[in-house]
Amino acid sequence: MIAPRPQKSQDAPVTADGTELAALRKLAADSGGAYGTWRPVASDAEALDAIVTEVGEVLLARRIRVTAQNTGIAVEMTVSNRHLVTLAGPQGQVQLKDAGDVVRTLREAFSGAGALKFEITERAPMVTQTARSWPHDALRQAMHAPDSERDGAQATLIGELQAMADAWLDLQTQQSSGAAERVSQLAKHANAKAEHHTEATPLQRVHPRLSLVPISETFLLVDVCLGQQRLLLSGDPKNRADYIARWRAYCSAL
Amino acid sequence: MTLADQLEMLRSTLSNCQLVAFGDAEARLILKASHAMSLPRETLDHLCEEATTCFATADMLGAQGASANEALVLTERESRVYLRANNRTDFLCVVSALSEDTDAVTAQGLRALHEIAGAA
Repeated sequence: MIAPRPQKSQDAPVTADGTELAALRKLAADSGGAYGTWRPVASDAEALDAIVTEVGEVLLARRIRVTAQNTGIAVEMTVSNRHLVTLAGPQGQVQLKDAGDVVRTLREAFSGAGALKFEITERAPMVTQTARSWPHDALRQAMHAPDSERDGAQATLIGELQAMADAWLDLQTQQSSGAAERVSQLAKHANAKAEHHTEATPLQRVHPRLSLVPISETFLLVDVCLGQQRLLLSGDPKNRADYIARWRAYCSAL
Repeated sequence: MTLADQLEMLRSTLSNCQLVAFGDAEARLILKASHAMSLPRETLDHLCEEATTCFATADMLGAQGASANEALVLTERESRVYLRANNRTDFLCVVSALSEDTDAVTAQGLRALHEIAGAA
């Protein structure tokens, strides 16, 4: 259910939580902030801030498309009464657990955006009264909350996967472990992927995933992507179900 | 039975199945897909790219002529099973909820793929 708009005193001081400051900055800016124009963003944090600010400024129900200039990624959000009601990517509506999940999804989707364009695609979209929604304040709070839960779960998963593998290669740190021949095969796979740029949309590329490709009777290639961290492992094909179980456990812990 | 019918039937057989697609890794194209909601072309293109990458990896690192014909990609919300028959370039992609039994999906998918490949 959509909560009523919070009442704020007109005498309330400008706080440093970013809400009022962002609004004042936007007011002070020239007309470059209008719908349908590109708004440059200097960093991923600024891109996220712009999107959350937009949610905080929409009272009447609107469907708004947000497009990233550098990556071409476009996301449609339904906003009403300063609440984000739905978020839809190229694969349709995204199922979101909480405000932290919303912020993470937006942060990953608009990584390296360069500039953002906001466009109103529908002026009176249907918003069901029972729909779950995320208030602007909760999104802003989640933006500044440390993501320790996710970091902890990620570290646990990586440790477990490395312990199960007979060889591994961390592409971020370039650290490796295991037989040189197997590590060399993992590096070959990494190089081939880099050369062919075979991964498609940026929204997909940054999303965490685990790929299992059986190579031989003793070699299961495990390719793990967790945001910026990318780990290639050589595992035992007999442990396939265990890899799947650990990935599910990681996802359910988030 | 047409290819569209076969894909539709496989999707309805599997529980929590969001999408079934048949494509060609060499042409880098999804030829036919069955899904509940309308999907942008980019999504299907991405699945095709992912299948191509998985099978190219299997071919590159595996023994010649004996590389794997299946691959699994898990995300935070879904599982994507990619299947091909006898190192052919055409493949089947099944997207289900993350909680689904991937072995059961693979078994059903392989049966459907052999029927499709046999009819081709």
